[in-house]
Amino acid sequence: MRDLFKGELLRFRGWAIAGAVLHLLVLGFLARVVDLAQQPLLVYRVFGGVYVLAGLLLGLYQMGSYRRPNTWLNLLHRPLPGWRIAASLLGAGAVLLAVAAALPVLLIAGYQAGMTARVVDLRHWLFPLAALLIATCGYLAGAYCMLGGRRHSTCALVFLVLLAVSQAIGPRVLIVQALALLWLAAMVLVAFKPDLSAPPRSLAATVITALPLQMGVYLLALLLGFGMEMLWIMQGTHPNNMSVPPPGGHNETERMTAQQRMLAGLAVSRAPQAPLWREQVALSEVQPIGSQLAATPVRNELTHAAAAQMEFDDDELRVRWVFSHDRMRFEGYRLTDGRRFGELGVGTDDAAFPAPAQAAGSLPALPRGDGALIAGNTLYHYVSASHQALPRIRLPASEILAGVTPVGESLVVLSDRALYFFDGRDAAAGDALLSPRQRLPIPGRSGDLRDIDLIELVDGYLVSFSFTTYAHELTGVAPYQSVLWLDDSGHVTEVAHRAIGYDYPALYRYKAWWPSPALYALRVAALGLFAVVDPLDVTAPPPIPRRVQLFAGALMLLSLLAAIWLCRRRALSTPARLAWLLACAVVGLPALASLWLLYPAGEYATYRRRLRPATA
Amino acid sequence: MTEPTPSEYVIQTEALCKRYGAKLALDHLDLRIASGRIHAIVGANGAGKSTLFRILLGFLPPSSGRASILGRDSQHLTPTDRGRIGFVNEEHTLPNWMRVAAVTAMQRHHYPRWDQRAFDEVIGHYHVLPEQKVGQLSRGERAGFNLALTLAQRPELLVLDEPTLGLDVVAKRAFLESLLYSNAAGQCTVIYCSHQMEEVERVADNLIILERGHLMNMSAPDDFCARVMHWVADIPFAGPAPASVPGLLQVQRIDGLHHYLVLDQDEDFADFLKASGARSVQSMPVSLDRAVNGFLAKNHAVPAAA
Amino acid sequence: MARTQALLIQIATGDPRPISKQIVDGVRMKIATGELAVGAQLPSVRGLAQQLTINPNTVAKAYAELTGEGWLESRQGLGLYVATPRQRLSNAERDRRMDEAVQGFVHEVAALDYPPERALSRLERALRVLAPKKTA
Repeated sequence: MRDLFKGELLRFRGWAIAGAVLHLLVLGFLARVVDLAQQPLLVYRVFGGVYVLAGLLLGLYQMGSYRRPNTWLNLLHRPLPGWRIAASLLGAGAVLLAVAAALPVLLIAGYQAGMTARVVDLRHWLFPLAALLIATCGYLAGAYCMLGGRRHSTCALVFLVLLAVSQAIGPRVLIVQALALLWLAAMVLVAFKPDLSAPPRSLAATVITALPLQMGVYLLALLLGFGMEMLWIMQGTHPNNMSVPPPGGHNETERMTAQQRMLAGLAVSRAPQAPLWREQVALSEVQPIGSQLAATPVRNELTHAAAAQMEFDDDELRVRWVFSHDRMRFEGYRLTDGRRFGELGVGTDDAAFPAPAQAAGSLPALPRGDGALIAGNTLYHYVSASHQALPRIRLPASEILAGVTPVGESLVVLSDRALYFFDGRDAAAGDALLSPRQRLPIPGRSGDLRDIDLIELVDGYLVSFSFTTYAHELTGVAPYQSVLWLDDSGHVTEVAHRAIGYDYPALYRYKAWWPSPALYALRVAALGLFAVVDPLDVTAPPPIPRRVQLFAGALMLLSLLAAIWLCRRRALSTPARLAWLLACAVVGLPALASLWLLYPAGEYATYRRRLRPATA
Repeated sequence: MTEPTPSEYVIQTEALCKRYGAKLALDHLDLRIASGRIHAIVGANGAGKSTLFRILLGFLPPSSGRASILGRDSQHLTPTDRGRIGFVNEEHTLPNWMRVAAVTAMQRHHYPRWDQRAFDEVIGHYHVLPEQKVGQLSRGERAGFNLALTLAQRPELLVLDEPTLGLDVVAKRAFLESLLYSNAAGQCTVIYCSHQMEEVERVADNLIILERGHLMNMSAPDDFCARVMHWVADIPFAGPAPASVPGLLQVQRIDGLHHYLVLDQDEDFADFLKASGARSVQSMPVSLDRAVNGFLAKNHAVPAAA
Repeated sequence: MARTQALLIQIATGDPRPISKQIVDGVRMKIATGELAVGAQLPSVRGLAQQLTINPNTVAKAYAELTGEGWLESRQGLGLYVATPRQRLSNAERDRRMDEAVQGFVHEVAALDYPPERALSRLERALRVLAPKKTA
């Protein structure tokens, strides 16, 4: 066993060393130019993609060289259990990838930590491990593609898709990667048998192979849908791309200007003041209210979608402040010579921020160099002169502060639940914590909310909320617009509620669900494994329409009937047949497809004749 | 001679079938190979030899029927069973990237009954250096190295699938010598699969002929040879219809004489030829090569007998 | 103790005679011509198999046939030796084989259109190789 492992290491050592050197050169160059620890998610995705590809190629090449009949026989025909042979080869592959993918990352992290003033947190020290895990996942997937049955072996790639789209956050991402790795390793071990073309035999082996296969078929169905959508777009009748969007639909609302949207909302209003407001809207400016947060940062998350916001430059001091998750404070280094400048916390004693802080740009009436920072429910004023962060706006603890928009003399603060109105003059005047003048709860869920439009009235505010973000999907609420009137006394009245039409038929919106409700649930569960729900992304999906439910049910029934037909033509034991029928009934078409792919016709039909001579 | 009991068969198949699509590679093959000695398996390409070995070693499932090797069902071989069976294929598949010494060490560690003397004895016939990479060995050296590795495992059953294919005359001879001289080879049952009749004649105790997945012969080579006779008859007219000639393997008309290669015919065949109008009849024995080739050619296209 | 004597025989594959028959014929000839004297030791089964690159069982079979016909004798644990000549076949069998040989010879000669006297003198010369054995 050790000899096989060693032989395999020696076989690829040249490639591994060359890969490691090249990798180190690229990282070293980039580390000179940029701070590799503070890159946006996309950069890490590109690197991760390269690691997966490197692993995939190694797996394909290595197992491709062994899968030739004579070589395979020579490899497996020895007094050693198959799993130990597999473990030797795969272990060697993992070690090679550790050298080529993980070691250079570790070295560069060490360089950044030891030789620069840049922030290197615990989360960064996990990068080499993540690199190893995803490269090994790619490797095992490549190995399975070669060793699994030709008809279905590419299903191992679904785990690579999982790695790319998993919503897990922080060090627990590594657990998801490790789980994917373990499952892939199990798949390879199941396939690692003398007869490569034979379907898995035991129940466990069948489940280990069939589940990713069904998920793969499900993914393929989604891809197929995507391809058809491309054709639809090319044809020019796709609602997203029509020059004039369908009237009354969510696309139309989304493409309106703030003013048009407000008018559209007021058009259905029965409030007596509506005609007056409409006139006012036509004359004065309608202000859109935005959010400064792309996503709520979570402590120790490995990457962040908008990493640029985790650091900001003080152009007066010529200092760059970078948020450290370990210290929960900003760490500063001089832009001139790269030397450490100091630490930035809350208040005069530089206390730790209660949540990961982000730069939120500048605000009017702040001195040059000053800016706003957002952390959790609090907005801080960064004072360049004293390099301090002072809390100025604090929302209730259960809310997330998402953005600040100056409107006239006021500051409008958006949270995941409500809009708050502050007096802008107080903000510029002192250092004290501000208290809100008014609170306007959002009439819906933050994730569905796409546009907020606001107009100042003499006696308050008129605010339009339109909920259309996920109207094209099954996760979004049925689109609507709500116009609220907030009077000076803080009283809120809904003056208009406009239901917005769907631009897409139900089957389109639920295309991720009806091919297999069971697999959709599994997909949601797999993606949400170890995820933290972002309060800004919560939606209120409506119940699934009855028509779509009936359609999905009909497909499940169809796949059950087809499975009954197919099972008669395949050599399966009675318990296996019943299990497959159950799977086809519950999972639907993807299970049927997996049954067809796992058990090719022809050859195995003769098994049955052998097993049941009476029917021969 | 007493009939061996089932446990004395190293290889046993019962109604073994293997189907590739519409083609039957093995057709209800009933094969029993007794323990000990050297058994040669010959057959035309596509006779099902490689398929048979792959099924016997558990690398292919049979379409129907049963196959067992060393008393164990082929589909359920344990690692220990595999340690008792040596297999050498025609490519002499070995890891090209490894050094000779490393491959040797690997096999030594894997096989509990490793016999270093047997290895040295065989490898001594070849100029193979331990630090050489396997990929750098010549075909002959590679074959010899493979044989040395396999014999040193001290297998109870050694299967050689066309081991001398593609070797030159010298390398072939060296391979045969190292196989026959090895003490290790003397202690196991050898299945020798070859197209080379010269080799088969030299090494085989038992001749097994497979054709189209059928067992066609199982006897000592001499006995098989004695079953085939070459008759020459001078028949002035068209000879008897080939279909009517008993035991006909091959018929040729050369310079007006009819040459018949027939199976299992005694002196009565002369009477048959005379009755068919032969003016003179002669017969002679044939070599093993001719006998086997005639036998295997039987079902193939025959030149129209003029 | 007699030393093993070299046994310089050739075998040919592709010959209608099986290899064991070729060995039997070769040894018989060597004994008949006196190249192998009475009491000379023959190579071991393994040795001869190595020398000829053939299966030892084939040699063993040939030796068994030669021993059975009385050309060789086995000495316990020592090996095989050329036996003292004795009548190896029954008279009837001897006559039958002689008839066969003569008939075969006559058939061949007949085709050659050789005068019988010349054929006889040639035969006599050829048979002279067997003469030394008689005196041994």
